[in-house]
Amino acid sequence: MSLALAIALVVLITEFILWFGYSQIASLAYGVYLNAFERERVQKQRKTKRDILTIKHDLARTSSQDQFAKWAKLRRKLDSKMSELEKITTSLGYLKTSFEIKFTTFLWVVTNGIQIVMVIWYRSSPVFYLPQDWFSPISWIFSMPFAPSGSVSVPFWFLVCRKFVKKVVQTKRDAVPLYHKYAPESVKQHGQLFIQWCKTQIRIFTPIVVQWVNANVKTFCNIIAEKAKSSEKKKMPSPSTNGTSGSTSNEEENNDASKIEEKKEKKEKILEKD
Amino acid sequence: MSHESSDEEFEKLEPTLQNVLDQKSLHWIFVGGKGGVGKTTTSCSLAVQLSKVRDSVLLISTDPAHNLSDAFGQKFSKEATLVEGFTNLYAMEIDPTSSIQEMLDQSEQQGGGAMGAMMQDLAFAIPGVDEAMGFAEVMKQVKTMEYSVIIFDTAPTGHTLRFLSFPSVLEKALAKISQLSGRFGPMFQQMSGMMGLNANQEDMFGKLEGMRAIITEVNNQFKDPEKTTFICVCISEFLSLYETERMIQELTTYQIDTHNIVVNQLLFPRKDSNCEQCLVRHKMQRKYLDQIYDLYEDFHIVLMPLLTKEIRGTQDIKEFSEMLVKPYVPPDDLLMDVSQ
Repeated sequence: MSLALAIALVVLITEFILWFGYSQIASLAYGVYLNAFERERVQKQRKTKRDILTIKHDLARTSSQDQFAKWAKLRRKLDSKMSELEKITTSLGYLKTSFEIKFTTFLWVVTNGIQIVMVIWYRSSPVFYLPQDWFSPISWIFSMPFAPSGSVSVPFWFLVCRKFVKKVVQTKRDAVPLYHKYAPESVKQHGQLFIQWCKTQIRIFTPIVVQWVNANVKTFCNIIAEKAKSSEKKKMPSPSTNGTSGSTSNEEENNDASKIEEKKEKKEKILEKD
Repeated sequence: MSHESSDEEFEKLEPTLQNVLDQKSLHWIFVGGKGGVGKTTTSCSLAVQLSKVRDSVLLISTDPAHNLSDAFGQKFSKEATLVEGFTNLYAMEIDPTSSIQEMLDQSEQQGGGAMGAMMQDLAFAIPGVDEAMGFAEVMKQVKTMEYSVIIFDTAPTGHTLRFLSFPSVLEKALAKISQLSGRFGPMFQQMSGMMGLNANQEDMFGKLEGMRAIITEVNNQFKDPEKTTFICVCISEFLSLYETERMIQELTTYQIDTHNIVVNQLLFPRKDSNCEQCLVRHKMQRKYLDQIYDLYEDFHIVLMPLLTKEIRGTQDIKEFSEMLVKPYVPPDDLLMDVSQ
């Protein structure tokens, strides 16, 4: 039964990621990553931009004819700042591209790779058995391709779960206009109030959670890295790679947490649209 | 005399070009600025002064307008010619764009049709490459000559500057070409043999490679402040100053040394002068001069007066050139105090 649940979970996550879009998630994760590891560079960029604006303002107020020396000095400063900004911007651009490529690959592995691996790994194990007489003439279809007869195979169960998720989403989408058309006024009002309450709650808590996550990503990583190191020291002769993988997965979890928060917001927006 | 002036002014650098004369390691001197500010006069004067302290001096004008002949009152060609009245001062006038034209003609005469076509294609492919190549050709000629110092009177549009800015682009392009030549050379030869062309591709690639070597070497020399310096000539007016500032910034990005500014055509009206125009103009020049002092603290700023006559002929230039090394002191009854 745990296999069935695991598959359902995998499908749920996959569908969620697909529904949300690779690039969306990647850009969100990039934001978190920037905040956690590249804060100095981002702040420097911001500061340079502000400086440039100030210098431009001063430059506009300085007459190039009456105060040429001052004007030219400002001009030099502006030029140097501009080139500095360009350098930072390009380096951040490179960083973003490479990060997004890596992250998208990671997402692809999560969505498709795990499925493929599971299908291959559990190719001949049954997810669960169906009562004999439910679909008696065509029950062999459910056990395609290698599962024992009378059971439901892994690929088939994947198919069912995915279909189910899609149908649920579809139903919800279809139900919204019907709701607007046929629901009694009082229900609508209460529903509206409830949704508004939810929105305010999310609005209050989302930034707090995001900030907390941002503030703690580094410490989490450090703690886990230290733990990994200490465990490594214990098992001195056989160095393990647990440390690194642990820290990255933790980071992902954190990212996920913030993502979920973001998603909530997104969902609201969708609700509003509907 | 230079000591006197440096004693007078403690903070400012001495207002003469004596530092250029003293720096014996200098091999290339560029004189540049906006059109009409007196570049040619300044470069001629500098050449005259240098001829006193150096073994041999070559003055090259890359300006297509060729004012050198007018200034000395003697016809110069693209061969180095001795200036009348000197024993070690030579002058020549070259047009960088026409130089590449000649190169093309020459290669066509020799029957290297492919070479010519290739060069033409190259000249069209990258803007400014024709000028740079022409300049490279000039440099090649100049390098073979034995002069202790070479002064360039640059064109206002600044072929020179563009050439100086060229290194990386052209070097990369030419490196690519020579790389290709190694790879496709044999094939090329076969093809041209089949097509009945008599392209001497060895010669072509060899020439390009040679040009690249020259450009690299010359650029390295230009970036060495011991060997090269740039003298900015300007007049005390807004646009000229603006151009000068831009030029200095550009030179800084190309890592070319510059620490001299010649401010030309300054007016020194008499105290009791009632020439309204002169007084107004003098006031304006004073204003921009103050700005120059403020902005270019680490430069030698040389003040040159506007004379009442045109500077023509060797004698005039000799007289004028004295003011490059001896700061011009206007007579007592004049308004402006130079050593202010």
